Amino acid sequence: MMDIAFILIPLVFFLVSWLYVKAYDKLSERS
Amino acid sequence: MRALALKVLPALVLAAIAVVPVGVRATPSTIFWAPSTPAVQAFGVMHLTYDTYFSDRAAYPIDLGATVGVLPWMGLQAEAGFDLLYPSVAGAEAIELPIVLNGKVGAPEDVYFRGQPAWALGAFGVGFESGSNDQHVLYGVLGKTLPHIGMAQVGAYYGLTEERFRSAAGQVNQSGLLAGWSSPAIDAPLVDKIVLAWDVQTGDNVLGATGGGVSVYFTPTIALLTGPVFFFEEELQPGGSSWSWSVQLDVDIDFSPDGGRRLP
Repeated sequence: MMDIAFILIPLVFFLVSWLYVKAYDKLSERS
Repeated sequence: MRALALKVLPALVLAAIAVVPVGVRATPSTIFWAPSTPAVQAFGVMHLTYDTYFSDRAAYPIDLGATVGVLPWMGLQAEAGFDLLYPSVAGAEAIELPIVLNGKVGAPEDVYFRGQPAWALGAFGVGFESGSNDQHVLYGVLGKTLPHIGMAQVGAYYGLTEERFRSAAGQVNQSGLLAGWSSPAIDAPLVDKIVLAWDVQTGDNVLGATGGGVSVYFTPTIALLTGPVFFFEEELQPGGSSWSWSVQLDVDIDFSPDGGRRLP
């Protein structure tokens, strides 16, 4: 369990944050 | 439609922070030991931290944390993050998922009117293991930059879980003051800058402590903060230590193409 949490939680947090910022950037450019 | 999405996207994130339920430490943006700062991560900037607190008798779990700025507005900023704390032994058993969440909203100085202090309201220690990491602390902080002195900060906190906020004698102490100071940047050879920092979290409970040290910025986004922490209730600390030494590695990663400061 530790290995999964230790790898997945930071990875998912990083990816979701990155996607959120990129999505906002894209929307900002188009509007 | 896109303009609507631009407003809705940050609002959804803000709502997600707001609905997160509110002994272990957690690290939203901090000065040294406590979140006694109104500083909020800039939009699109992720802060990674690797914090250690150790003495000759024992140590706190290693704290691996990440916090990211999630609102693209100047007048209302927000950050959300988590900390993983390993090793995770609580009593005889290891906590299966030693994660605690934190979140904060606030604004920097002078955005509403000239002379306005920075402010922040937040929560930290939001764990999911009842009886171990469910501190659920609410707090608020004001801060003001003073010429030649640096930023002075003051605030208060309240722990929602009574059992996590007892003194060594068993008395309940769920609230206290937060205060801190961070110096102006000091030029230093070989590195980008040096910043001195100190803070205190009052209360005869496991979080009551004061600490300070020096933060060495090797680059504008990579810093090593180190110094001592002195505990108010040493019987509640690892190994019964009255103090610990702390080494904290802090790294900022900017997701945005133009410096994470696309604030109006």
